[in-house]
Amino acid sequence: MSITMKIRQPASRFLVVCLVSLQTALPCLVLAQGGPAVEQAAPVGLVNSVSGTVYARNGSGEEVLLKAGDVFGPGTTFRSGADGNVVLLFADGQNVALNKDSVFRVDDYRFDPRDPKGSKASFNLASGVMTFVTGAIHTANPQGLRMSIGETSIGLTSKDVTAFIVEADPKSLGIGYIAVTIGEISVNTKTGAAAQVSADQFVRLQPGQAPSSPAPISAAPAVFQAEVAASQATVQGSNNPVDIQSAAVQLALAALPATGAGTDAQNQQAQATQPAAAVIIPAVTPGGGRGCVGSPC
Amino acid sequence: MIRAQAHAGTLLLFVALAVISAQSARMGVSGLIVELAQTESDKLAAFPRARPAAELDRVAGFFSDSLAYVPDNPWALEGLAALDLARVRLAKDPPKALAFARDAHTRLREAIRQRPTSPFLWANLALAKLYLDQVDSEFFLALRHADDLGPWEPATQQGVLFAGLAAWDKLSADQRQSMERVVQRGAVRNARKMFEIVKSYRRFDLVCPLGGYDAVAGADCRKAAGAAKSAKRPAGDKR
Repeated sequence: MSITMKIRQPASRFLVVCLVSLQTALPCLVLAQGGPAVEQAAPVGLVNSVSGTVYARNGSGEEVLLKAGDVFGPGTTFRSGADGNVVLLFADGQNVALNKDSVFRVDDYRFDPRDPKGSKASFNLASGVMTFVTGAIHTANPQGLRMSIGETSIGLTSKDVTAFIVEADPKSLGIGYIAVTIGEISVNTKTGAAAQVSADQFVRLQPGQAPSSPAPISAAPAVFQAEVAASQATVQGSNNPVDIQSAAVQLALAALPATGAGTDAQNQQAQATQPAAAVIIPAVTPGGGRGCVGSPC
Repeated sequence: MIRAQAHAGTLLLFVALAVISAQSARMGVSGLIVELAQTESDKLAAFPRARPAAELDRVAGFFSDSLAYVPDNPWALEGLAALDLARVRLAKDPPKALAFARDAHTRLREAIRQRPTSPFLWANLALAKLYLDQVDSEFFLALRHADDLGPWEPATQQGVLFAGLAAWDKLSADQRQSMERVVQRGAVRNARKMFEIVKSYRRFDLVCPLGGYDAVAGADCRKAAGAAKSAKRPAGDKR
């Protein structure tokens, strides 16, 4: 009996030590497997979801193919391929979704949850289509958030969560569209002209000219309307700061094939859709089809 | 001989009647399907809200069925084009949205060839051109015809105003004046809807000076005037 006990005790201790070690090491293993490919220190955001080919180039010029759960730091440039789509989640809860053939750079990003008013960020879209949903930096320090598209800069005039979609023509510098789905922004060009764009409005950017007068999104060209409709199905900002490291771990865990990796509840919550636009069918000639076919009716 | 000729004549007449009957039946079936489709479309139009694309696709299918019987049925072409324009916004795929706009344009042009006096067709043609990002002579012609043919038709007034304001930067002084006249006429029967359009463009300057819009636009006009006043006020003036 005592001999059995003597044998069992070290065995159970060993088992406990093994389990504790595994529990401690698992997140590190997961991170190493699916994690910080772009930036090793002080990540400011993570790749929430990705499809197709999307590359990220860090400050040192190293370019990597992105996968969900990758983290990144300031100075990172994202480049999506012809089939690429990516959603980036930042530490302050801000979201950026890039469609195909887009180039987006995180020029600067400093967020301190203990001092949100001292936080700031700066971004640049060189080309492509981007959906931008603001986070805690914008709410706490609207002046600290800067966004530019070529020579055009965007100022955020509403204090609450703001969502806008930008399309920058990759072939013709300065041509593009900006639409606002939530909040209000000001679009400022190099010429000094500015336009206030409210929710459900868009403006057209033209090189060397002032932005067009704001118009409802339903008056935009078909292609841009479709871009806006697609963006309304992408992520929604929450203004809640995010622990990037633990979120990256959870995303990497979710990406593992094992069934016990948890549910997609968090992703589903983050990907709450923006309200879809009402369908408006234009009026037609009255009396349609009332037993009258052909001209003259 | 005469009898044989009479027989042949009767046969010929019978064949002609059969062909005409078949043709009439075909047109009748096409018209019936259009009527059903248009009733469905009117139901959707009566309550503008977010809808799944499948709902519009289903109704569009009825119009397409009608066109299978009579390919140039102007009612079916017009109804399907209106749905194409509505489906532009629902399409989350840019090439698909562009295809809807192109189809609408083609169908409206075909319908206009048969019914050139319908202001609704011209107003929708202007909208299709806008979606195609083609603010050109055809767009201006469509606007002008819609305005000339349906100056007092509320839906036409709305269509002309919506498309006209979207292209305001490109309108000539004369075209802008005719747009202002549309707004004036709209106040008579149609003030609320017209104001909704003007408001979506933040063009309060078009309605605020007009008495006809006081009931629907008064509050917004006062707000806009207040904002303009405070913007003009010197920085130090806190009155």
